[in-house]
Amino acid sequence: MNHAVAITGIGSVSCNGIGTKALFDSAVTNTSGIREGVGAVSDDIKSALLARWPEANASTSALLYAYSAIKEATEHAGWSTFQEDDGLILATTAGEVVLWEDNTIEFLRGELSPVDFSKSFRNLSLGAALEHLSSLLDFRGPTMLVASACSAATQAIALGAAWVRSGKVRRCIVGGTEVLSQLTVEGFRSLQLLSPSIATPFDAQRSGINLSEAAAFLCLEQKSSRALAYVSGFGFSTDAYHLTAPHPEGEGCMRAMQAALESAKLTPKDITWVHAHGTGSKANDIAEGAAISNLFGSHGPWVSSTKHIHGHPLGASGALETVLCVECLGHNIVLKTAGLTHPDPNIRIHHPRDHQKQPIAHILKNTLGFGGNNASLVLSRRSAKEGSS
Amino acid sequence: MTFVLGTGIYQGHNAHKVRIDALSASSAFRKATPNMKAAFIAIENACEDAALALTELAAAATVLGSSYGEIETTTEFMRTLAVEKLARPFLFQSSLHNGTLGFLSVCLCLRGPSFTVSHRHFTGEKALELGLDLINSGAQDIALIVALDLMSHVLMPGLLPLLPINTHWEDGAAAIILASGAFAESQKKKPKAEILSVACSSDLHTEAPPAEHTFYDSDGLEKVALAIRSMSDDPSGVRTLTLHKINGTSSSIKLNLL
Repeated sequence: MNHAVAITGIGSVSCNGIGTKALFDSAVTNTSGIREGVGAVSDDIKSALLARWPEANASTSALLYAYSAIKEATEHAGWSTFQEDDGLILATTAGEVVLWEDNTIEFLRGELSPVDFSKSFRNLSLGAALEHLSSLLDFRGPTMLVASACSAATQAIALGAAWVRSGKVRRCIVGGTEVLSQLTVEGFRSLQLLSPSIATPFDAQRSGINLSEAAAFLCLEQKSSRALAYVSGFGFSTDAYHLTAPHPEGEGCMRAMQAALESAKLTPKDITWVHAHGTGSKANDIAEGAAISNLFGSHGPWVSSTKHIHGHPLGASGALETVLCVECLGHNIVLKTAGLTHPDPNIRIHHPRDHQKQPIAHILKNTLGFGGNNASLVLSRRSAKEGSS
Repeated sequence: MTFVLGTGIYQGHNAHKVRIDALSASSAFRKATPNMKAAFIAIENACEDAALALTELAAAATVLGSSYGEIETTTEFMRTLAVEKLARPFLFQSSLHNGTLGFLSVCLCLRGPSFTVSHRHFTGEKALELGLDLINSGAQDIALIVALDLMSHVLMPGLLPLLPINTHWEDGAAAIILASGAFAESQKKKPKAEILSVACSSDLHTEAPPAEHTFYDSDGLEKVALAIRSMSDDPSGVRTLTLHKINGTSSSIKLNLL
């Protein structure tokens, strides 16, 4: 905890609405933003965003959401402009897929000439999203784009904290953005992972995940009087097991959690709440549940997932859920797993029956991604110097 | 301090045809994409250069950079979806940007931290920079850095109109094994070079592009690897490698030859 990095601003756009208040209110009132199996940002929300940010009118939805979330976070943190010693780390798995998906399909069908196809070709490079976002923000400092599947944003937050810790940058804006696309939806459907109804993580009757759209960003800086919370540790691991399925015993997930605790100089008993990846897929919830129960034992901390509320925005999920955790730290509330009615008896974790109003010292935030990519963060209410509650 | 223990380069299908055929015949690589095989060959090559067994990478951090990712597989997934109305799960899981690294982790039992990054023409440099950060911060003792781009032959006609005159795309992959001084000493490995810094110019910065150019987006790592190899007999000392990109940007990598 000696090197905890302050979170001084947060912002988000999700299927629950614009801003972190909309997200938090949905979570505490158990109001899901999922409709017909997906968490799309509604046309009303898009119209409101376009009206609010006319300078981003020419951008894709992925950038519009990111821009709005960044503006909310930086305003929250009191950052008026970006400097050359500020950093930007963007997480995404599909970037601005809408700029090339339809054109590529038309080209593959022979309905678009190579010259016309070439106009969108460069957007096939994932880094184009970062280039466009940097340009929109007139951002001149160090940047990076992380594309490590569902762990991407959690990695981005951790790497941003490391950049701030090391002095590589003075401040860092970190987060992720993700939109729905035919490629992603049909791909996940082919893997038989999608739930037609609202996901019910950790439930015995769970039927899969809900893909969703979101952008969420956080402002990171050295210890600050404006700190909302702290990133006090992080850990990463790889399963080396399967391209899309997690290790069934959650072996890699457990190593990531252990590394995060070690990095924060904490022990399992210091954790109040594990905000789980908890997608609602059979394999994820079993693996993550096993990892948590193996690490914490039978009397571990509260464990819950909020995917029922906001769905799974893949590369942005770690940022969206971290933003939600920061709000919960501020409100002293541990969220229950909305939608959970019959806990899976094979997952031996400590489910809160209702939202728990109680002081929170530290939250362990997990993500598990395709490629066996695991990342965990420790989010703390206070820095070590201020003392833990 | 971050040292280079070994470098490896994949120079295209024709240069490695025998090895690719051998890999393709093995059960572990039966469903591997061209990207996965190219990355594996570059890693094999780097391990050989470093006198490390592949198994010694198990705890290493891995950073993989690719601008276009598994574009060939993505294209095939989209083609079957668009033309045959069939979404093929195996194609989808291999089409993901981090699918290459997911495969490598299984194949090589890589259990340490793993990151996939993408940054257009700076993709190779950004992968190297992240590896440098991981070693310099003390978070890792050893890191495997890979950067590759293999273009989809089906989509190539869309890229050609964008290329300046005398500029050619050429598929490639490279791997560099980085280690801390303590690791190199404990393993009795003689480092080839020390990486001092990696810097990329602003995307808004422009210079005249080189007159004749063969490239792939993430070729920065390969150019660092080639420079280290070509300077192996040079006197020790600091060198600055400046890499000019086709879009007028440039990167600068400072090396200390040992």
